Amino acid sequence: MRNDCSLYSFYIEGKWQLFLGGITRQVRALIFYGFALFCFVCFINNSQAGLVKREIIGLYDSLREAEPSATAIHNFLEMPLNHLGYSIRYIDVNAGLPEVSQAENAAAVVSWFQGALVDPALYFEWADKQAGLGLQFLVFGETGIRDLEEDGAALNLFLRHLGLRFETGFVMLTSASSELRLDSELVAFERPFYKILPGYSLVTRISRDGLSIASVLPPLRVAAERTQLAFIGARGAYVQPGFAIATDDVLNRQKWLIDPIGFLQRALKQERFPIPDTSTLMGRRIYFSHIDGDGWNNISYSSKYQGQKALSGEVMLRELIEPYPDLPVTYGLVTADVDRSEGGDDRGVGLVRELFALPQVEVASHTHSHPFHWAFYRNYDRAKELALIREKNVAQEPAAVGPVSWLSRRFFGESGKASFKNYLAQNVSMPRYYMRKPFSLVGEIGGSLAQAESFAPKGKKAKLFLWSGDTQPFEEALAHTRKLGVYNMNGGDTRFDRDWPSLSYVAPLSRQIGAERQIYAVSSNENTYTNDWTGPFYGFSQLHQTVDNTESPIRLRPYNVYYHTYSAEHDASLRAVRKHLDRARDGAYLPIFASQYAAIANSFFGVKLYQTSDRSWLVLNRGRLQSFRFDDARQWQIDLAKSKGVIGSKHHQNSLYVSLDPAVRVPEIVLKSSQSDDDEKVASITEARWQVYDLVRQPCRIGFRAFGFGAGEFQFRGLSSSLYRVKVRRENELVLSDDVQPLPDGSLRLDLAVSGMEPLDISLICNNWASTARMAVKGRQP
Amino acid sequence: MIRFLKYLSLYLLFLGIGYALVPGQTEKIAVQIKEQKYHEARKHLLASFEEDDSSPEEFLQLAEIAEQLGFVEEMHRMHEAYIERSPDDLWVLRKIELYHRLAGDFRGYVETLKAIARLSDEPEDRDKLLATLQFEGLYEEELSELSFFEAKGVLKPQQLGRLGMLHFQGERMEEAAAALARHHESASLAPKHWPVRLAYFHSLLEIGDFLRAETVALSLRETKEPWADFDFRSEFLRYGRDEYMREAEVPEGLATILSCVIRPKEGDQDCP
Repeated sequence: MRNDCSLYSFYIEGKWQLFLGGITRQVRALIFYGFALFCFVCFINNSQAGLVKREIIGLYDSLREAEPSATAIHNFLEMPLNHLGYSIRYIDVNAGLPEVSQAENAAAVVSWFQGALVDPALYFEWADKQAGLGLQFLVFGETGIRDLEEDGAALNLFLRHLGLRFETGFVMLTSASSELRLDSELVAFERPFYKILPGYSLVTRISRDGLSIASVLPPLRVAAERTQLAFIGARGAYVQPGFAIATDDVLNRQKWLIDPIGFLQRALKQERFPIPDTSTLMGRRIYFSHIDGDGWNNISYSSKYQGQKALSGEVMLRELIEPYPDLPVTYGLVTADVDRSEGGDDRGVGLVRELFALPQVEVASHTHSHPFHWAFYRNYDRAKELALIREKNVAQEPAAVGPVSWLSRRFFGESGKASFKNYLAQNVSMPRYYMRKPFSLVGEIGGSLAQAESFAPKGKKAKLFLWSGDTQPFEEALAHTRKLGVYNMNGGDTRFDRDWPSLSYVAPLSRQIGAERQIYAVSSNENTYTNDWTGPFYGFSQLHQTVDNTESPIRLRPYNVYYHTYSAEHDASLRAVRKHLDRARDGAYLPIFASQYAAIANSFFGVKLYQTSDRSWLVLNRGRLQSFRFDDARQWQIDLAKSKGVIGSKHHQNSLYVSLDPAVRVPEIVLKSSQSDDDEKVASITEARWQVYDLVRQPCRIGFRAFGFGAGEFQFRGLSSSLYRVKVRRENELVLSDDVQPLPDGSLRLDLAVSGMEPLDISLICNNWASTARMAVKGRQP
Repeated sequence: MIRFLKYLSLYLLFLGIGYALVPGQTEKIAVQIKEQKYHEARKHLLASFEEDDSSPEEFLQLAEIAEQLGFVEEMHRMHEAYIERSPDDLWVLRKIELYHRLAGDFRGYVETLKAIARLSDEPEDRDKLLATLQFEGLYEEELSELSFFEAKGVLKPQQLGRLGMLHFQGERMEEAAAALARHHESASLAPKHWPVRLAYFHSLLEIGDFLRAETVALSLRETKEPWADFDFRSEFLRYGRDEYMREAEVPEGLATILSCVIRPKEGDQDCP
C-alpha cells in the first residue's frame, strides 16, 4: 500500500525502500541540524548584548611612537590587559579616529601619549562624544593637550566623564606637598612611593563617584584643592605622568608604582567572564622548550668532549635532548648552517636527521640565512646588501670577546670556509649572517621550512617558524608564514627577576603588525643572561626566577626553556639548561610542543564569548585554546551537570581553571556557588599531564582519549567510591588493565606508566557498571 | 695602577707564566685551567684543599673552575672566602656583585655595591649604588651614602641636588641650602634641574638668607628659560619681605598693596 505520509510521490519496495529510507533520515537530520544551526546563528546575531567585550582600543600618536609595538601601551599595558582577557586594537590618532559603530564592541579606550597631539581639540571632541556614549577611557601619562589655556576647556569637557577637572597650574617644587593619600592595595606595588614627588598637574575631583588611588594636597603657596595623581572614575581612569611607572635612567630600569593588573581590573569595572588562558592546559601549567639553531657547527668546549672536536649540535643532542624523552622540544634549524652552497657545513646533516627522528623533537625553522635586521629586507635591495658587504663586512674587533667574536663563534665556529667568508657576517652591522645568495621571503621562510622538514622522518611536518636577530619581522614576512599554514614565534624577551625586577618586563602575548600577528616567546633566552654570550656562561641558571615570578602569586605565563645550540659549548651553560630541564621533569606541568603554544596564543585573539545568563557563557571560535580562567573565584565552582564540553576544573591560587574538551565545538561553561549543596556526582578530570579529549561520562563509567609526554598523570573527582577497572587501549590493543580504588571523597590519582606519544583510549568502569547498564536497558523495554 | 697590577698578576697566574712566582701545585692547576681541563684541575685542587689553610690563589682557582663548570654556589663560596682574605680586590667583588644580581639576593647585592663604590675610583660605581638605593626606595641608606660621598667631595651635580632635596624634604634647611648651593654652582641650566634650583631658592628663604635668595632668583631670571618667569616676588612676600625683587616683578604700587595685604605694617603711610 502506498504510504500517504511518505515524502515520496512513489512507492518502492525492497532494498530501494531501505536505501531511500536512509536518505530520508539523513535529509531529516540535515533539516534538523540546519534548523538548529539557523536558530543558533539567530540567537548569536540577536544577542549582541550577550557578547563579552574583550577588545580595547589602544590610541597612539605615530608622530611620537612609530608603531604599535613601540608604544607605552604595548610595553606596559598590553600584558596586564592580555592577562585580564583583553586584546588591543591599535589606532593611530593621526590616521583618523574610529566611528561609533567601530568602537561598539570595545570594552574601553586606552591612551598613553608621550606629548601633545597635532589637533588636541579634535581628539577631545571625539573622546567626549565616545565617553558620552558610555565608552570607558583609561588615560595614562600625557593627555595630549598642547596648552592648558588653549585646550583646557575641551580637555575638561572630556574629563568630566571621568569625574576630574584640570586646573591652571603645575607644581614643580613638590616638597611642600602634604597629606599624601595612597590606596594601600594598589599603590607602592613594586617599590615604595616617591620620597620626593615628581612635578604634577593640578587635577581636582568633581564627582563623588570614583576611587582615588593617589592624591596629594599641593603646597600652600599654590592655594589649590587636593589633586588626583591616579584616579578611577565612573567612566574610566587617569594617571598623571610619572605616577604609574617609576624609571631610572642610570640603571635603565623601570618599576610599577601602581599594581597594573588590579588597577586595570577596577578601572575597567570588569564583569566576570571566563578569561581565555594561555598558560594552562588540563589544570596544569604548560611547559615547552624551543631552541634557536645558532651555533650548530661550533666546536664544544665541554670537558666531557675534550679533544673530540664535537659539534655543539651533537653535544646538545646527547646531553640536553636524548636524556629527556619525556620533555618535548622544538628545534629551529638555521638551514644554511648545513648548506655548503651558503658556506655552511653539511657534515652535520646526519646529526640533524638523528635529532629530528626523536619523537620528542618537533621540527621548526630558525630561518635560512639568519637575518639580524628584518627591516632591511622589507624593501630589499641586493645591490645595497652587496655594497654593505664590500664596505663594512670586516672584523672590527679582533679581540677574543665582544660582539664580533660572539657573532663569529656563534655561527662560524671553527669549521667555516675561507672562500665564503666574505659573505658571512663579520660584525653585527650586517643585515644577516649568510649573504652569499640574494634574500627572498620564499627561500627564507618556505624554503627553510621545507629543507628542515626534508631532514625529518616522512610525515613529520615543520609547523613553526622562529624569528631570528632583532625578531622584528615586517608585515609581509608574517603574512608569508600565515599563508604557509605555520605558526610563528620569538621576540618579547620576558625577564622578571632581580636583574629585571618588574612586571613591565613580562611581554604581552604578541606583537601586532598591520593585519598580522607575531607571537612572542614566553621567556627570554640565555643570550640576555650572558651579556650577549660573553659570560658569565652560568647566567642562564637564573631563569628559574622568571619562571617562579610568572607563576606566583598569579600564573601569568607557561614555563618556557628557550636557548640556542651554542649553550652546548660550555660546561656552565650546559649545566644551566640541564637545571631547568630537571626542574621541568620533576614538576607538575603539561609538556607540549612550541608550535602548540603558538597556536594557543594565536587562538586567544579569536575567542568569542556569549553570556547566556549571569553565570553561564558559550565559548565560540576558540581554536586551540582549551583553558579558561575565573579570577577571585574561591566562591565559585563549575556546574558540571549544566556545563557542556567541560572536562574538569581546578582551583589554583585565587583562580579557577576550566579545561574544555577539544572535541566539543561550542562548549558552555556554567558556574555555581562553591557553597552549593547540589551533591551531584559528576566525574571530571581536575588535572593531567596529558592532553584529554573526547570525554564521555556515563553512569559508573568515564572514558576519554589522551596523549602526552612522559608518564600519564591524572587527577579525577566525582567518582563513586566503588572499585574501578582501568583499561588503556592503543588502536584497539589493550595495553593496560588494572583495578583502582577512589578515595571516599570520590577523588582518584591515576598514574599510567605507558607511552602516550600516540593517543590512547582510557576508560574507568566501576565494577557494577555492567549490571547497571543492563538494568538501564531493561528499564527502557516496554 | 693597583688594579692593573692585579689584573696582570691574575693574567700571569692563569697563563702559567706565574710558574716562576707560584711554584708547585698552584702552577700545575693554572696550566690545567688554561687547557680547560676543569674536572682534572678541580680534582687536584680539592685533593689538597683546606678552607682554613689554603692560599687566596687556590680559592680563586677553585672559583674559576667552579664558574666554568657551572657550580655557581661553589664559585660564590670561594669568592666570599677569597674576599675575606683580600677585601680590596675589586675584580672579585664585581664577580660577587654579578652573582648576587643574578641570584636575586638583593641585600647581598646592595652591600657588595657599597663595598665596590667605596673602593673604586670609577664614578659609574657610585652612580650605580646611588641610583639603586633611590630606585628601590631605600631612602635612609641613600641619604647616608650621599652624605658619605659628599664629604669626600666626589658627588656629581645631580647627586648633590638629590642630597639637597632629601634634606629639604626632611626640613633640614641648613644642610639643604649647603648641598643645593654646590648644585646651583655646578649644574647645567637644563630644565631637569629647575625643581632643585627652586628648592635652593626656597631653602635660602627658609634660613632667612634673603639677599642670597634674591641673587639666586635674579640669576635664574636672567637665563630667559621658559621657566624663568616664576613668581619669585610672591615668594618673598609670603615671607613678608617686600623689599626684594620689587623692580623685577610687579609694579611698585601693586607690590605695596600686596605687601599691605599679606603683612600689614601698622602706621605705614603707603598702606591704604
